[in-house]
Amino acid sequence: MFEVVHQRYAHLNEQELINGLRRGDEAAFRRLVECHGDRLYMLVLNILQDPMEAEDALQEVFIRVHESIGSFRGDARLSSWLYRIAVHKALEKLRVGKLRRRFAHWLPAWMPREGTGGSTGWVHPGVRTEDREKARALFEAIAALPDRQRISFTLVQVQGMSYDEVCSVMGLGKKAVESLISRAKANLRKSLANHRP
Amino acid sequence: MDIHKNDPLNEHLAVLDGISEVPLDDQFYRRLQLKMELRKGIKERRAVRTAVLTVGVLVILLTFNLIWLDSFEGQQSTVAPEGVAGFASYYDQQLSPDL
Repeated sequence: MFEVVHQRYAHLNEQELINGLRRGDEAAFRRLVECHGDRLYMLVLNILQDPMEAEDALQEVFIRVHESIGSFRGDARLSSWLYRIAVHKALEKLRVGKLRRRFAHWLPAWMPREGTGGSTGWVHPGVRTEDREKARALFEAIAALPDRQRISFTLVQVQGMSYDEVCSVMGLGKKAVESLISRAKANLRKSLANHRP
Repeated sequence: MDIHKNDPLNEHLAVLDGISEVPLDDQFYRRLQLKMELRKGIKERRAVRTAVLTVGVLVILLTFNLIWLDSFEGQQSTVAPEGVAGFASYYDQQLSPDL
């Protein structure tokens, strides 16, 4: 029964999908997760560099979408709105991780000590085996960047988004994004100079 | 001249060209649904708790009001003064001899 209903959304356009979400249709919500889940997961995984934190952040993103689809005005594309929520959620996680590390000594014993955002030695699971060492060095250097540089660089260089898309997602002007990318590249060059084989 | 040999960043960025997309776990949607149900349950419990707490606070305030009103009315229930002299003494006044 569910599969039959689910099939209904397989070929729907964005507006019909949004209408389905606004009606609280579960099949439309599932379709949304199927359509955008993988790319959003890659986005938050590349920013947070932690699969557990990335999945948690992505769940929060979809819950937020489910709860606030009524406030989506439709003046931007649905995917841009989703990306914006995902970036904000990732940024929030990075900040919480930093705070957690800063006050690690003050935390009670039962609270987790490690947080997202630091140098993790993480290797992207989609990287070729022969590139693993270089990828580790690159992602470690990206993790050491200030938050906004880290996010803008990840969106452009790792996700392959255009500057216009990044402006829309981060809510910044083109000049600001260009400046962030330029500073990120300068910082990365300094960090990676020591990692040359 | 190969730019990759001079720029450490470009050298490292080249690894991103061969990166493949990692799909979401098959069970992701199930876990998401569970989290949503859990959150819904917490919200419902919180709504009930807030309603009970509000009614409780209102009942306590009403009880205090009734007790205060009762004691206030008890203080006010005095015998009505009789005659001009009674009225004067009730308002802590003295009658002048001219009256």
